[in-house]
Amino acid sequence: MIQLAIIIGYLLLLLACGLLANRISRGTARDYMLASHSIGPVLLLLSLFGTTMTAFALVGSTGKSFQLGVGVYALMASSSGIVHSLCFFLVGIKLWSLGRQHGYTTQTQYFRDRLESRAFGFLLFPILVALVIPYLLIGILGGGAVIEGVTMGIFPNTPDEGIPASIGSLMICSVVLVYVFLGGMRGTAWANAFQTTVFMVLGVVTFLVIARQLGGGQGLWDSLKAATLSVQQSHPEKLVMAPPVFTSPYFLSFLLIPLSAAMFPHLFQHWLTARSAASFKLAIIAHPIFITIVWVPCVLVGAWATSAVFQGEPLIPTDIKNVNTVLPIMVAKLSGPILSGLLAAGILAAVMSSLDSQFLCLGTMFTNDIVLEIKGREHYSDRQVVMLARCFIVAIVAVTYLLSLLKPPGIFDLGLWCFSGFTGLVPLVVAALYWKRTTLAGATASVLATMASWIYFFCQAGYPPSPKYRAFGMLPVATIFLLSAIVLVVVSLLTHPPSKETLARFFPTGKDQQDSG
Amino acid sequence: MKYVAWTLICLLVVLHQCTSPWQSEKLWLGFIPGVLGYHLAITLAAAGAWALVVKFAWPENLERHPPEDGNP
Repeated sequence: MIQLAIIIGYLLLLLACGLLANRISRGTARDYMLASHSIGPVLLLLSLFGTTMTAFALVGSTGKSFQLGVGVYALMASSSGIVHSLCFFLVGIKLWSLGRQHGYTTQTQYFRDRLESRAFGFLLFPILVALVIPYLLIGILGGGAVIEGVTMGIFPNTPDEGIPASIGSLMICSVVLVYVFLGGMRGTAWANAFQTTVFMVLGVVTFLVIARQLGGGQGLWDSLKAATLSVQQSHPEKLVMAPPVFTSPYFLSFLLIPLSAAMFPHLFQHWLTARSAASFKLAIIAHPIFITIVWVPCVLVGAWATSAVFQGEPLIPTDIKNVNTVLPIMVAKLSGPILSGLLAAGILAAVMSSLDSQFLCLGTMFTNDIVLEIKGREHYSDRQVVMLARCFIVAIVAVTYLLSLLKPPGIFDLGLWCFSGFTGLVPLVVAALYWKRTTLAGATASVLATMASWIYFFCQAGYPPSPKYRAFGMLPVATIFLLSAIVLVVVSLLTHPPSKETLARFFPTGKDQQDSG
Repeated sequence: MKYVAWTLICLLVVLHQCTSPWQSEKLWLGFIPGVLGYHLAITLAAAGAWALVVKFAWPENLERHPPEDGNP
């Protein structure tokens, strides 16, 4: 019952966040969707980090390390430390600048202007939405499973049951809906900052408690050494990286996965909330450090779990079906209900800090890219635009929750496929920002090539998609990305360049800037 | 310094792909496995390299245009 009380207390704090943000809202659409471009460096760092890190950073990393060893950090975390900051620097600040200058709220608005085509927006929009929805489902289903696991046995009559996952998912959706509905982007940024702090602190605390327990009550340093030594003796393969799990081509292709952040629509919206370009500096520098703080403890705990013994029995059975339960099981067995409840709150924090941005972003996209684009902005007052966005957010939450009840098989394996799709669209955004010769035909061909290759590989991988599927010894993302880039360049060079007006607008010379300044 | 900073980023990407620490049995500080310690060092070095990029290669003219009163 203590665990449930902690979770409920945590959810109430988030609701308070949304209420507070609502109280100081300016009531305009710009405030609701972009927090009036008022987010400073610290809040931007925390909200960007919270948005890019899902529950996978806590429970998934531990489970994967249990399964594959500490090489998981090299595969997924250290690459993100380099590549995410690259995305913020090369794409984020440039889009922020253009967004401020031309009043954009969504990616589609930028691409419509840059490529001089309304129709291109209607091509890109459904693809972005289709790639975000599985990502949302992973969060909703994962959050529900955490609540069910942590509350297991709290009802005296049913010791093997907890709060059903579907009810847990509903609780999460409701809380996120309320604070996004009320607080818009400001509430989302505040909640993200709070949640990022929560899951980082709780991750480290959990690590220290588990280390002390595994070390048998020695000092912390000796406990850390003893825990790793135990793995070295019984499962040395978990402390190194070796084929067939890790191969050079596979490892190289994994470097492309974090590039997907450059095309996340929810990240685009967060970038536009920045008060100034300088607000990005802290996020660019500190993002890799934050990744280290969250991932290293979790990866170590996952490796330790392979050799940990509890009351004479292996703490985690080697044939465990769901490796995502490794961390919750360790916490439940090695600590009390308070830490268990706090860890559940930390995992939910990681889940919700991504969900909120995605819900808000989809509501904003439906409002701006579809309704306002078709009917015309002049037909709506600012208040009506906010109401429209809120209605869409409610509808999206309802639809994704209902989809989550279907429990689509293999949904967790779809995460990597979503990222692959976004990575396939990265040549588009980079070329649009830095290459004047990018044309509408080139961009369209690139998007179509991305989708065609993505669908082809997805069909080849079967459903649910096999995580072991490779194309040319690599993840399919490598081929998708390469194809997308080649098609974009070749078709752009074969077609007419954009108009001089568009080039002057998006690639101003020194003289243009003096004239407009 | 601008080119030094970007060269460092490129170097880190190359070092990230280096396979020689994969089989290391060394323990850093007595408890961090060799390959994890190597990649931990790369991540921290990335923060340092990005600090140099931010200091010496920060793009100009990002805020020269006044914001337009466009649609939200």
